[in-house]
Amino acid sequence: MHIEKIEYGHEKTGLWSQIAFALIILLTLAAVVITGNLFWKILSSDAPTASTRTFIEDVGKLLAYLLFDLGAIIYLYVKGLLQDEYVTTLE
Amino acid sequence: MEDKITFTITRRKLTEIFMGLVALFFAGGATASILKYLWPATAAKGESVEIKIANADEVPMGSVKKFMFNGKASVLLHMPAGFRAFGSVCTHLGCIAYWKEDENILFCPCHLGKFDPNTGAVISGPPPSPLPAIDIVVKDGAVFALKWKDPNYVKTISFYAGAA
Repeated sequence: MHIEKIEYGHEKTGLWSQIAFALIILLTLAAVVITGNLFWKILSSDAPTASTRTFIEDVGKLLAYLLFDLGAIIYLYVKGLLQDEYVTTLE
Repeated sequence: MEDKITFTITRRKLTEIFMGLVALFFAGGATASILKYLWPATAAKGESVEIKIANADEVPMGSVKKFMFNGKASVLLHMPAGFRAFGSVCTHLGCIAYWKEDENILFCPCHLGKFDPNTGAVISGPPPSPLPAIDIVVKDGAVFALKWKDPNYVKTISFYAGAA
């Protein structure tokens, strides 16, 4: 029997990695703004406003933007900062 | 003696912390939204809130506007005597009564209950009690719902009745 442990190497270096990190910072700020906007809209709207089609569409759009934003952050994190994974076998 | 404390953080770790903070922020907003949904308005306790139903000119004489009040289907009527608002959940079995213009009544189609549009009183049919009245106020050219006239109304009907 052996145990396999998946580990990551050191962070990537180089220009692409620095750009990816800068983009991650920007996209994280965007995610905070979108999340704040989304919940402010939900919490501050009164019932008649919140039941309109426009309101529901706006909330759906914000959720879609947030999902896209988070997807981009994860992509940049994996491709820009992580080295390829390798497996250590522990006997 | 070396008393300098060195603290290093990788970009990777920083990214993970940022993502964690965004997730916490999202979770906080979601929790607040759920709490707002579960405890929507103080009017359930008989306190007064102002919820705009419509601009007065949107509801000309003899017409109605449906709206939701404290999660219950309700209706605003513009009668010759002025504006009236009632919960439109029938007091019989919880169907939604609607404005029947040709008979000048609020009508429940399930068991043919009829209600007076001025008072909400039962005209005919099986409903055991009048439609619940809603206190309203007209100001700045708009009609606002304030509270149920009977503060105990929402406790007397099924949670789901009239919740559209």
